[in-house]
Amino acid sequence: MNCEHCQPLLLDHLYGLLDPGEAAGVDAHLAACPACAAARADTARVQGLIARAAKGTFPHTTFAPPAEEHVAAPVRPAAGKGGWRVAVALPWAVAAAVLLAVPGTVVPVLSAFDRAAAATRAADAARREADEAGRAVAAVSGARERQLADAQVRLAAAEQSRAALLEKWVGEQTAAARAADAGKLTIDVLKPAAVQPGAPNDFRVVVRDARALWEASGTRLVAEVRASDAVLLSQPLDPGLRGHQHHIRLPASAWTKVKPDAELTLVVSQLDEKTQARTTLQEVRLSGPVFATLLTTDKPAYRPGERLFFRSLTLDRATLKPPAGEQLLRYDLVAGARPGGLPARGLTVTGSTDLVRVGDGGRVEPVRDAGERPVRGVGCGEFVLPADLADGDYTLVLTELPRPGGGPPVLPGPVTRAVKVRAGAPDSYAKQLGFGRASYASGEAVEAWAELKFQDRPVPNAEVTGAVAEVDGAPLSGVEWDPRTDARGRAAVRFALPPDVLDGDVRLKVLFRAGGREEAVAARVPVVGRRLNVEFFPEGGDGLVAGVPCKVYVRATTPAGLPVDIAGTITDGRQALATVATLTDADERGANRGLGAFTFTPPAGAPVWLTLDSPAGVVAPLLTGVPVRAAAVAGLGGPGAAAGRTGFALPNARLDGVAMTVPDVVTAPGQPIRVHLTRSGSRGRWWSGRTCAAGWPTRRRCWPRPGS
Amino acid sequence: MAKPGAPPITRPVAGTEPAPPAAAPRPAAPLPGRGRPGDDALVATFNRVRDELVSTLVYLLGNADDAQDAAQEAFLKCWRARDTVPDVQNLRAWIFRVGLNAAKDFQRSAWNRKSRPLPEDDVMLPARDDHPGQLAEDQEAVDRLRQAISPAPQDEKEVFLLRQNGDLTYEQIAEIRSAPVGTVKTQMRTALIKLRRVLNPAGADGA
Repeated sequence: MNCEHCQPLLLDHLYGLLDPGEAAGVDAHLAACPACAAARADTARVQGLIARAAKGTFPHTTFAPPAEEHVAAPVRPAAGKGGWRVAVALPWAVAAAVLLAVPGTVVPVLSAFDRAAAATRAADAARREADEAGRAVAAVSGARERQLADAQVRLAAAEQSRAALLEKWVGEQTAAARAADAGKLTIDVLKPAAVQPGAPNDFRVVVRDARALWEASGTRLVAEVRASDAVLLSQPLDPGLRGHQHHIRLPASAWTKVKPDAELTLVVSQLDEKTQARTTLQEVRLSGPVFATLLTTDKPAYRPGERLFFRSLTLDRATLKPPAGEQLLRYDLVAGARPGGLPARGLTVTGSTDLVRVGDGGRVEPVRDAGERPVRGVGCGEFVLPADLADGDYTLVLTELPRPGGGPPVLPGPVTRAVKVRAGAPDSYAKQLGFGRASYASGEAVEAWAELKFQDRPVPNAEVTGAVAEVDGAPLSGVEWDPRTDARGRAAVRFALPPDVLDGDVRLKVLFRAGGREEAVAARVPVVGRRLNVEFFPEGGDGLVAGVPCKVYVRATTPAGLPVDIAGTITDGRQALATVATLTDADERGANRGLGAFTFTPPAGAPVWLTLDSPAGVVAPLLTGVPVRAAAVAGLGGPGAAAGRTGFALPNARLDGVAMTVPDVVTAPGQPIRVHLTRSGSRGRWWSGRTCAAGWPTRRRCWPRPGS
Repeated sequence: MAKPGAPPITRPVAGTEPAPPAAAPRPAAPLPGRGRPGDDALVATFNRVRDELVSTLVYLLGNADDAQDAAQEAFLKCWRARDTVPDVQNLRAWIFRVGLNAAKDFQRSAWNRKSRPLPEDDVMLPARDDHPGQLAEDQEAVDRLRQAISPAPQDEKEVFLLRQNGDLTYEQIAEIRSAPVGTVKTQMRTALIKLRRVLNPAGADGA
């Protein structure tokens, strides 16, 4: 296919009008020809214009169910026309009513004269009635207009008074906020994101003291760094520096007094000079044990009306010890798969980690461990799901409330767990989906089977009522399935993947009808799409250092989070710096986690990226700030130009820094821990290092030897 | 069913296809065989496709008032038949099919024919999309396209609107119109050629 053939077909292609063969030809040409790819973008703009032309906006049209079943007349949203019809119809209706009333008033008489006279009288009476009715209508409409005018005046007055009230409220709020600001003492503590153990650390305390003089007299402010309860450093804050920054340095020597799992806090307190009484004004957690929380429920899915039991366990990540203090925990069950939602009514529980055991007769006793200490770190409880709870995905969210005795919470953020709620008849069959191959790629045919079992025996000849596949959120047509299960209780399902599966998020659902009921089974199809996530983790966690061999761990996953095996090359555009391959083992499939590592020396000031050799056809992100080679520019249109500009970029290397690697993965007891430190950049002093292992109270200072 | 359908222009409306339970969270999504959530889904889907549906009917009926009446009529028809909603495979396609029938009823009805204003009086233009900063050139192109869609033959117009606004596959359109898929695709192609000419009057067949 050439450009003359390709470009006229583009609009038809976007609208899905081409034969599969023709479409594949156009796609192949587009991938290779930048000019046609640009024309495709232009055609997509034309498609956007057509879509805009075809669709207007009708914001005032709404569809609402009729209030009563028998209301069938269409509701016209434009009120003008309908109002006019009523106004015209009303006098006619009055007249018709009058005319209908006339025959009833005519009394038949024998004499034609009498009849005529009576008819005249009746006609007069009818006319008078009609006049009266007309006057009555005029009177009513006049009254209505007057009422309307009155109401409008009242409305205008109300609007004015509302505006005045609002203004007054805003003024009061502003005044209150100013007053609150004026008489306050605010203390801000500025600290680095992570406190460096073993090194000197600098903090800044900003005090804005706007209190009246008498209030502040006789007191002074003290900043203290505390490790658990021991005071490492106490520094009075100079009262002359009102509204200024106070500089506090925690010297490296102070770390010798710190235990590895101690919690370090910076406390600013107010000291009364006469009574020496201390009032804590501000407390900031500097460092301390990092806790991890596991939140579980007794089942993954529930039915409305059921009881949901949950339990959380909070332990130090390193020592596996629970927090030393009591925690106040709140559990919310919120709708949706994200924790941002509002909890449903009655689905919030608050409690402490003060674990109790309820014995016979309702006797409550606190749970104690062998040392008679309270057992902490565990929170548990239950929700009774309302019977009318809507189906869907819910999230159990655990948040820690500020501790009752003050002090910051132990958990850094909320902990969540997904919970499903499903109504409907419970499933009585065991169902399973299986696939012919371990994984599929774009454009391949998927062969799957759906299996139906009852009490561990296959169910043959059950009807398969449908099979639905969804690719990256869009339904896929052309799914074929066997109408009935075979002797093994299995029904085959076949479908072809589209040629361009980007994310690889393909789901299959098969519906059975067996024993007079419908049951469904769904599963994710193992598909490797054209989009991958590749992440790089430099060892030491502190980024790459130019000119120094750096070890980098790499992880490749699909957007859905499934591991992918990759192989490729690290390059700076001129030469290959390292080869990358993830760890794979054909015999131990569980080992294939899409993880790997490589070592290379980053060049100074030049971007570096990964180009993939396998899997083929991956859409790599566009690289920005990468110089395009002159040869590639000259041969614009060739595949080299495109390939030279895409890849998975590594973080930029710093010119100055230290790279740390631990050559031994495991160090035997009694052996020295070997650490390689390599430094580049300007000359400087080595800081002392500190080793600290979980629960290992000893600490050694090591001085690096050159070349080791 | 076996033929590969046309790729959808936009993502289909969530909840119109039976999806695996592992799909994106939809707490309000109805399960087949339940009454009330199905009703809500019907109303929600109608309100979601409102602009597409009413625009389609405006082009078919020639004026916005009739189109809105026909849309409400279609909604009431669907509402009365809401018990069948769980059986409907694609709610959106069904709504557009009922809407198309409502438009045809409207055109047949003597009262509506009589009361309809002359076509010249009511040059139907749906409300413009207000995109601040949108190029005036684009808006002009959209206006020209709109004027070109209105006078197109009824068959072409229906196919084009069901595909563009209804987002139906060509198979679904062929089924609604009781016509072969090939004919439907040819009508779509003709409509697109005309629209492209409107945008690019000089280049006869270019990109």
